[in-house]
Amino acid sequence: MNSETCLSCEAIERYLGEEEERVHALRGVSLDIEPGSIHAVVGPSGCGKSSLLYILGLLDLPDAGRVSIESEPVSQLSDDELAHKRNKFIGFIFQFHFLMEDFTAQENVMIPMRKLGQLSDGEMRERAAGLLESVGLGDKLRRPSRHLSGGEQQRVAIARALATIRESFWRTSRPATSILPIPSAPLSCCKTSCNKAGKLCFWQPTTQSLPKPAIGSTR
Amino acid sequence: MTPPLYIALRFLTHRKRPLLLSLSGVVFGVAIFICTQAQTQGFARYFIDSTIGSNGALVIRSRFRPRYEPLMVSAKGSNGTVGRRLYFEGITNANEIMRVSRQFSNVVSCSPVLRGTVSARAGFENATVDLYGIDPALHAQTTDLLHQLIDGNFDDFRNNTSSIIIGSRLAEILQAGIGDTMQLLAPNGEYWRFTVAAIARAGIGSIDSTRVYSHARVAQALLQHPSGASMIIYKLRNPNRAPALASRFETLFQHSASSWQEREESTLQLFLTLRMSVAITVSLIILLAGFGIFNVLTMSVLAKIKEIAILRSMGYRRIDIASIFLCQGALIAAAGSLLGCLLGALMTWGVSHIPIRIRGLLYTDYFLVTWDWRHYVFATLLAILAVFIASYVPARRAAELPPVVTIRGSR
Repeated sequence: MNSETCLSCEAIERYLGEEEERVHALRGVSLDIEPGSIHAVVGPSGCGKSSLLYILGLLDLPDAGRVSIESEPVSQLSDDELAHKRNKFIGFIFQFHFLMEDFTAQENVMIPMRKLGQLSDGEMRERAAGLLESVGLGDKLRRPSRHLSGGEQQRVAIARALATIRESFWRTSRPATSILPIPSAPLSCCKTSCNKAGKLCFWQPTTQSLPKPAIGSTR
Repeated sequence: MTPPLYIALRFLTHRKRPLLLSLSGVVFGVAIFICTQAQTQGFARYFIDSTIGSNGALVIRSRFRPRYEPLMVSAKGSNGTVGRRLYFEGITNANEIMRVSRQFSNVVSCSPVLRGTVSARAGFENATVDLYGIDPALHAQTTDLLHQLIDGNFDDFRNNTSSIIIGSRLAEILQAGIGDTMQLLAPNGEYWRFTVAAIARAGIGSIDSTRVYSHARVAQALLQHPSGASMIIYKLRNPNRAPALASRFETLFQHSASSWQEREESTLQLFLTLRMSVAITVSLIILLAGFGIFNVLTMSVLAKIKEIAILRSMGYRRIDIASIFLCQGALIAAAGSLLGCLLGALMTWGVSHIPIRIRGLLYTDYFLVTWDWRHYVFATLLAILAVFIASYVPARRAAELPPVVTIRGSR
């Protein structure tokens, strides 16, 4: 792991299921990721792509091995500390959008900002509007998320993933890591996300016909 | 507004039917609790006020002498006489007892009464009456007799020693009115004639159907009683402390003393049992409302599993998730209690205007209610407790949901 590494994992092991249905999903996965790069996790169905992204996104814990963000190991962190890191550093764009149905597009984007609690209500609204504008939904800010089409919901999810990921948010001169795990999202989503974030991006393509699991990267 | 409260508000307001169901459970539970407590306590309070207003908060009766333990120790298991007393009818030296007892800070005033049971006759009707020979001025200070008069004039009674005040139901039984003549039968078989100067209504059937007030000296002559008083009635600043004062008076004056709580124990027990019975019934209603809220919130957790997973992925902690569901419960409890208190007050007011003719233990033409802020506080606390318990389990369950499992399983 060199000084440029912003995210790394080492000898990750993950088992899924119980007893006879137990599956060894990840076997000794190790990664060193540099900032500003885009990575695609590819492989056949059930090879552990999503499991890896959940672990790298701090949403799941490995059974063995360790994950570090900016050289800081996160395996020993408490659940609350992991939640705080997810809120500050990580934005998820799920395959099935996962928007909050009772909220408008703008309010959905504001939800992670509310948790971070660093902006006033007006500033949050302004930033959410800006993000939605940039994904082409400037005229649908107040539309309930359930009334948006699938593509529009996907774009709201992108805007929401980027909501708390901005250097000025945590007011430090040090470049911050932002990780965007995008399980099975279209490539356009991945590109949009990474262009907006300008940071590290993981992409899990929808095409899952590749014979062997692999991680491809570009800058 | 904190993020959990903001989200809780949204979750609540976007599911209107379950919200109304939960809210109405709390509202009606609180309102019914307040209304029923106001009614049952209203009747009890009326009875207590009436009995204290007529018979005093404390009464000193017969003189007693302790029966001392014999010098020889009685055999084991034998029925000894330790602690028993010898009673002597009437008050010995009533004026001295009253002078000393007035020194007690809790005593407002006291009145000597000579009491006896005689037969009464008016026209063709007869009845057995409870004759109270009183000092009009002292008795008016000590009891609510002045306020209990529904007909006639107290001054007419005070200024005429051959006049009497009779209870309202006795007046009905004997068909006697103001200015009519009533005859009381003395122990020597002689009828004494009195004029009815006033009619009083204490509101308690047993008093109103038997009570006759006359001047003390006239009563003493009629009853041929050697002492001027058979009891002393006390008005106290704090009637709740009557038992302690009664105990003190017994020790001090060697006369039996009984508080209103002791005197009316059986009736008070009846009211207490009734109140407890109603409170248990209404608490069950609130508990049912709690079950309703439990179901609604549990369904809400099940319906919001996906949202919970999304929130967790965005950095919301377990405690934030639990807070969202606890906040929903708190909002339901707060709004339900507030509306329930308002509805309870409205229902209490409405019930107090329902005409009801009671002529038994109590006398009333309308439902009796009491306005007590403690009913509102207790109902609110009960609702909050029920809702908190009902919200806690779903909230905890929501907080413990692993987000990855939900996200993996969602399509």
